[in-house]
Order: sequence, then C-alpha cells, then structure tokens
Amino acid sequence: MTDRSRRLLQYAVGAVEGIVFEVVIVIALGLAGLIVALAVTWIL
Amino acid sequence: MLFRPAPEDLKLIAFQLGRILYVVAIAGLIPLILAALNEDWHSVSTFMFMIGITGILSLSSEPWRPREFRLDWHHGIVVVALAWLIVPALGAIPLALSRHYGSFLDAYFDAMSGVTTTGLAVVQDLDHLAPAVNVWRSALQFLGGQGIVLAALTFLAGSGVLALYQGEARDERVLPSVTSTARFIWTVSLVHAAFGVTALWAICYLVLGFDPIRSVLHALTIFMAAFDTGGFAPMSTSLGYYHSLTFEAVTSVLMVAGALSFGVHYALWRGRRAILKNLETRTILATFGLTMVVTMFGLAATGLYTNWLGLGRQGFFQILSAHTGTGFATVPSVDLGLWTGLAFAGMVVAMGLGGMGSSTAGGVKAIRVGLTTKGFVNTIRAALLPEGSVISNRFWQNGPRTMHGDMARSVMTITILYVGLYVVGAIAGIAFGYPLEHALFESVSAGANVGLSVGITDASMPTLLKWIYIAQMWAGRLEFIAVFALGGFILSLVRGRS
Repeated sequence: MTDRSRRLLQYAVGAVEGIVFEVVIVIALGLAGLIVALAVTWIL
Repeated sequence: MLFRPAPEDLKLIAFQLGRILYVVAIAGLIPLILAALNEDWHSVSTFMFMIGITGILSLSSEPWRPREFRLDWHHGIVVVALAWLIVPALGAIPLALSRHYGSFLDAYFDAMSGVTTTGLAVVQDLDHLAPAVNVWRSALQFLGGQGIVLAALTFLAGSGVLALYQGEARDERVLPSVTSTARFIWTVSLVHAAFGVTALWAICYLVLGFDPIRSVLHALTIFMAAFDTGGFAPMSTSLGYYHSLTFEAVTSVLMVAGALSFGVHYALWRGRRAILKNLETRTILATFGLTMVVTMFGLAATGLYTNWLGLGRQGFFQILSAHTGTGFATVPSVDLGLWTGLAFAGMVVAMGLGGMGSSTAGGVKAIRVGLTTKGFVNTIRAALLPEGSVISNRFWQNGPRTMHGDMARSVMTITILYVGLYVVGAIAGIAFGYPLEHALFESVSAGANVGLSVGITDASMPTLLKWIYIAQMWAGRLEFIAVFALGGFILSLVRGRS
C-alpha cells in the first residue's frame, strides 16, 4: 500500500467516524431534550 | 490621513471580483440543466440570461489582469464585502424573472438571505415554484455557506488569498495553506452530501412515498439548506411538510455538522477526540443545554403542547435549528409567534449566540461567548481576590492558549457589535408598528443569519424594513470587519488625498 492510498484510507475511515460522531451527538442531545421535556411536564 | 486608492488598486479589485463571479456563472449551470431536463423553457431562458450577464461581467474584468499577482489585506477585504453584495444581485435575476416575486428587491432579499445562509423569505406561492428555481435558492445557500470567495479560492492561486479567506469571517486554517484548507472544506461538504442526500432520498422515497425524481429534489434542496445552515425549504411549511421524525433526525445531524467548525471536522477526521476539551465545544454544549431547558419551561407554561413527547420533539428541533442558525421549522410562523415568555427568550438567545466559529452558522459564535464569559468571570475574580493574586487567562482550544488583552478586546467588540445589530433591527421593527417581542425575534433571526420567522417577513412588509434586514444579514454574515473596511474604502475614495 502506497503512502497516498494509506492516507486516503485513513481519511475515509476518519470521515465515517466523523459522521458517526455527529449522529451520536444528535442522539445524545435529543435524548437530553426528551428528558428535559419529561422533567418539565412533571414539575409543572 | 486618508489616501485615495490609485487606479491600479481599483483595477485589481475589479479583476478579483470578476474572477469570483465565474463561480456564480458555473453554479448557474446546475439549475439550467435541471430546467432543460424538465422542459421548463422559461426557467432555461432566465438562467441563460443570468449566466450571460455574469459571464460578460467576469470577462470584462480580464483587461485589468495585473502584471504581478498581489493582493494585500485592504484589497482583499474590500473584494469580499463587494462580492457579498454583487453575487446576490446576480443570483436574484432568475428569482425575479420566476414570477414569484413582487419586485427585484424581493428577489434580492431572498438571494441575500440565501447567500448569507439566513433563510428568511419573501417568495410568493413557494409551493408552486419551478423545481430549477427552488434548487437555485438552495444552491445560493450552499454557495454562501461554503463561502463564495472560498469557492473561488479553491481554483485561485497566488499571494494575498489569505486576506480573502479571512475577510469572509473565517480565521481558522486547518491545513497549512488557504488553498488546501479550501479543498478540505469542499471534501467535508461532498462527503456529507453523499451521506445526507442518500439518507434524505431514502426517507422521501421509501417512507414518505414520493416518486424517485421528486425525492432527489427534496433531498438535494434540504441537504444544501441544512448542511450550510441556510433554512430554505422547498415547501412553505418548511420541515413540517414531511411530518416525519426520521426526516427531522437526519436533518438534525446535517444541521449539527454545519454548525461545527471545519477545524473540528478536521480533528474528527484525524481521530482526535480532544475537541471535547475545547472551550468552544464546552461553551456550545452549555448554551444549547441552557437555552433548551429555558425554552421547554416556557413552552410547557404556554400550554401549547400537552404531552411531553410533543413538547420534547418540537422544543428540541426548534432550539437546535435556532442555535445552529439553520432556520428550519416544524411549526408554522403563526404558532412560533405564540411561543411567548421564557420560550421566546430561549429561542432569541439561542439564535443570537449561534454556532461555532469558522462554520457556516451565524451569530456571535461559541468561541466568543466562551471567551467573553471567561473574561467576565476573571474580572469579577480580580475584584474579589486580594491584590496581587494571579488569575489564569489560559484556556484549551485545540491546545493550550492564553487570552491576551488584544484578543479579549476583539472578542468583546464583535460581541457588542452583534448585540447592537440585533437592537437596531428590533427598534426598526418597533418603529414600523410590530410588537417588541416579534420585532426582536425577527431582527435577531436576520442579524444572526438564522431564518426563523414569527411572521413579519413576507412580501407585504415595509420596503425600508426589507433593506434593513438585508443590511443585517450582510453585516452579520461578514462579522462586521469587511463591512467597516468597505466603509473606509468608500470614504477614502470620496475624501482621500491623492
């Protein structure tokens, strides 16, 4: 494997990891939102 | 003392502007081809007209090609400020000729809203707009979000490109050269396009039952508006049109991706998770959490949503859309106007703060909010602690950094300018007879390039208010520096000494 193809592979893996990270962030924020909504409804 | 620019300076600026306009002409080919495939000959003629005018303007700048390619900071920043005024004017041509705008000003309003990735719209009967024109509206957002000048920089070379890059409110070079940074930004965008368009297309086709071509159009327009935090939707009811939780979830991922700085994207692609230590990341997570809690409390108090699932879904999506500066909505403008009290406050603060620096989002930006807060806390500490106590000015942002006096002043100045911009727009809205809350909401939405509306922005709004919002969108997107530079340049033309 050449340096160039290794770098490209590294980039491709990184890109997938990056999108997975964004998906995880949105799931975490969304769950936090639902928990807040549940708490607020319960408090009020 | 002001010095009048030499004719060579003006020629250099005109030449650079001409080169940037090539990008608009090339981008116009996409809707042109789409209109031709759709046998929409009226749209074909309007796009050919725009491409023709833009091409002629670009070519006419060729005689001013400098012998030596040099572009200093002052030239670069003036080019950027002018480009962001001229590009929407040219981009407005097909909109104005689409018969969906009351005047050229209305078309210019939408084009400026597009390139600044705001999303406020005065288009009439959007639901029946030709597909090619709809794609062009989204393409303007994509072009603006990527950075019109940055798009040109990908193909330009030579000294002085850094001035153009920074003038467009990007101060982060993730790779050693501006050109390689520009290419990286395009790579990130295209990878997200592959993911986003495929996912949205699949939902439209498989879940919502759209036909394949219509699914492509919806996926493409929503992707461009979401990733570049623009907010133009192809339908007048925005994302509420789809009534789909999965569609909202995928769009949310794209909005978050758009609000991340390209430095964060680079770190993620290199497998560096240290970004969670960054002041900017921590600030945006804190402000997002805070505004979401405040908004949910306010919303629950209004009684608009009786069950927690509806409250959570609507509250979360609207706050995410506001904080990332996207402007998509799953509730109609009329209903958004009913989000009063704390819900209103949470939304306005989220819009005003915005996303990360060097992203496509607008607003004050998380890094400035973090530094302003740190400076504020340090000032209080200095007042409370015994004289001579050492107060740390260090923070973590892709490595250890120190907040110097110059940095603190610069951050404070831009933050104050944003607040001033929001207040001026709100006063203008009040002067035209709109309620304070609505005027403030719409002003912050325009100045922070968000695009959520409580109903003020439409074709029938006062002409002067349209101009004020246009100016707010422009100044907010360029983060003031280029605007002041252009003002100084005009002043030196008028009053400078030879």
